[in-house]
Amino acid sequence: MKSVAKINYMLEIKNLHAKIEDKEILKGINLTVKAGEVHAIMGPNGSGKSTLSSVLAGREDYEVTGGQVSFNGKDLLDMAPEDRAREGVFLAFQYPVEIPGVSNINFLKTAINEIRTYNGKENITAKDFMALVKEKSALVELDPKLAQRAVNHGFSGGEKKRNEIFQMAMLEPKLAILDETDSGLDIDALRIVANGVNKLKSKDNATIVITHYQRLLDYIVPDFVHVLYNGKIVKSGGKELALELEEKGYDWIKNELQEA
Amino acid sequence: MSWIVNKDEKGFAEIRKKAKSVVAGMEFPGLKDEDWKYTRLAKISKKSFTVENTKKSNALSDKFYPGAKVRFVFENGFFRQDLSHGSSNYVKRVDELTEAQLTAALEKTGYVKSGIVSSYNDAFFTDGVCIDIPAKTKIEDVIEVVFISNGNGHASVVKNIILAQEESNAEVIFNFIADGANENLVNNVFHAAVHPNAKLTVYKIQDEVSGASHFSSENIFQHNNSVFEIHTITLNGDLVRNDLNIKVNGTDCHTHLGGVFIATGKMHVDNHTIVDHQMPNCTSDEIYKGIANHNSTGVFNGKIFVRRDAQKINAYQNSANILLSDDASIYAKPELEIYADDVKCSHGTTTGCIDEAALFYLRARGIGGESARKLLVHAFASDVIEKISNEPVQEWILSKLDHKLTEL
Repeated sequence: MKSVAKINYMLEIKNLHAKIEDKEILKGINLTVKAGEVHAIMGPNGSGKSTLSSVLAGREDYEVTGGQVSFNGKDLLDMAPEDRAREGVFLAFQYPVEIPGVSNINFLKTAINEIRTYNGKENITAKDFMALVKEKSALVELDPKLAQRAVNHGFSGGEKKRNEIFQMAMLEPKLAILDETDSGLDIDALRIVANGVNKLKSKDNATIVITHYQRLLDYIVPDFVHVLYNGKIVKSGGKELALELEEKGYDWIKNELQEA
Repeated sequence: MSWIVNKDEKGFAEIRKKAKSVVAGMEFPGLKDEDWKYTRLAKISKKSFTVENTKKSNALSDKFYPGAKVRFVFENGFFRQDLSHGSSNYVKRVDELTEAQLTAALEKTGYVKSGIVSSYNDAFFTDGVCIDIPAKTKIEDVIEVVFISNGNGHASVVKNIILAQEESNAEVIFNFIADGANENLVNNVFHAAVHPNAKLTVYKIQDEVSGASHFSSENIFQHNNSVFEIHTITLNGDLVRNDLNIKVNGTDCHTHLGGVFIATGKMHVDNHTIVDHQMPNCTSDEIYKGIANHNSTGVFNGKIFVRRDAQKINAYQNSANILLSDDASIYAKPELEIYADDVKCSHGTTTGCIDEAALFYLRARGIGGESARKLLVHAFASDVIEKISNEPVQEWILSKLDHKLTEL
């Protein structure tokens, strides 16, 4: 018998099924992601894109009815949302939540320290933390004053999305899932956000970009593109697949599936 | 057997005699009494309490305000010189006054209200402070008055008076704490007059223990151009009832009422407030935030009167509450009675659960469920505390709040 070298996937999703209330949304997702890769998941509205990101982040509204997800060899679905984050999963929210009364700074410091404690590290010093805030807010061209304000409270749409990437930069996750980060962004904000993501890219981390439109992928160039339709990945390819989708529209996929 | 027995009664014979005859013929208000609908007194009325000079407590410095240069400490209603420090020409003890002086001081507050709490107070009070801030005097340092409740079955019956003379400015902390007390009663009556162009700020901390019951009756009279602020922070106590009555009898006044309570276990916290606008061109804002966990109950009844002559009033009232458990309850009743036609008044009350979307957002960033919940509760309460402009006091209160949050 020939021995097969084990491939070290960062994320391995096998036959994932999930429902909300009584509606089945994910109907058998298979996806593998390695460190250093950028994957784009595209699909029409209602195909299950946001459900996938929510399930991966651990939102309790969704019930996983089948399948497995392992993250660096650990059972992701068995973990509380905070433990997923502490293991290195980061979800950039499509709709970042406003939290009046909790300052961005206090929130991020608490988050960083809880992540560090989980990983057996000491708390960050106030000096190092402030230096980090300065460095990372510059990365996403976020006004450092916003860092002092309450989390997303009274932020514009673009500021909220930049704040998501700022948080990502602060927390340095292994796997970042960007859920429709491009929605509601003008071209300048889009460029800034994409630029931030690109600067954070390394051989040790991976990114999943979830989007309806191709335009974000002009800035964040994916290694793989997957088309999600009706709760399943129906087509995968290289970055050219995104362009093809943009040109032919999602009906092309629908028709192809009907013909098959 | 009487509800309260005073073993160390001293002085004020006329006031006591009159009040005792009132008390003798008085029944405890029941559920049919609108003001006591949600706060049942049946259980506590069957107990009995003793007023007694115990002198048992050691300094409870961790519960005192660290920045106080003048601190008066009372234990079960009796002065503890040894635990107090500093002195002020403006602060006298009620115990040092003659009956005529006390009556005169009370008359100067311009507002005497009778009710069960004040009648029992008149009959059984032992001591308290009488602060007379002279005209054109600003007292830089906060004066702290501490009331320690200690032992078992004791009543601490105290009377406090503040006369803020014209153009004066002062801040006072009333800090109600406990020293391992159990099944005790606190009866606190406070009278204040804020004279023209004066500003008076009161911080009231209620951090007694479970088993302790606290009844406060606070009556404030505002003259022209005066500012009165009160911040009521309730962190402990079995049954807590605060009756705060503010008569705004001058023009161009401002009144601020801030309140936060965190109820855990079987605590019952009832805040009744009245802001009575009798004169024109005044503003008042009132914000109470309540957090109820476990089997606790919170009651808010806020009444605003705008009398016929009180035109151009801008009055705002808000009561917001969070329920952290299925067994906790909140009863909120905002009331407006407006007889003037050119006024701007608004009130609102909300009661809800913790924001699940915010909770998930925090957890998705690696913050554990428990600390995320605390962070949100802290944020919910803190905007009331942030209205306190004295920063050291604000920090002290926030630290007390955070300490309490560990019990949630």
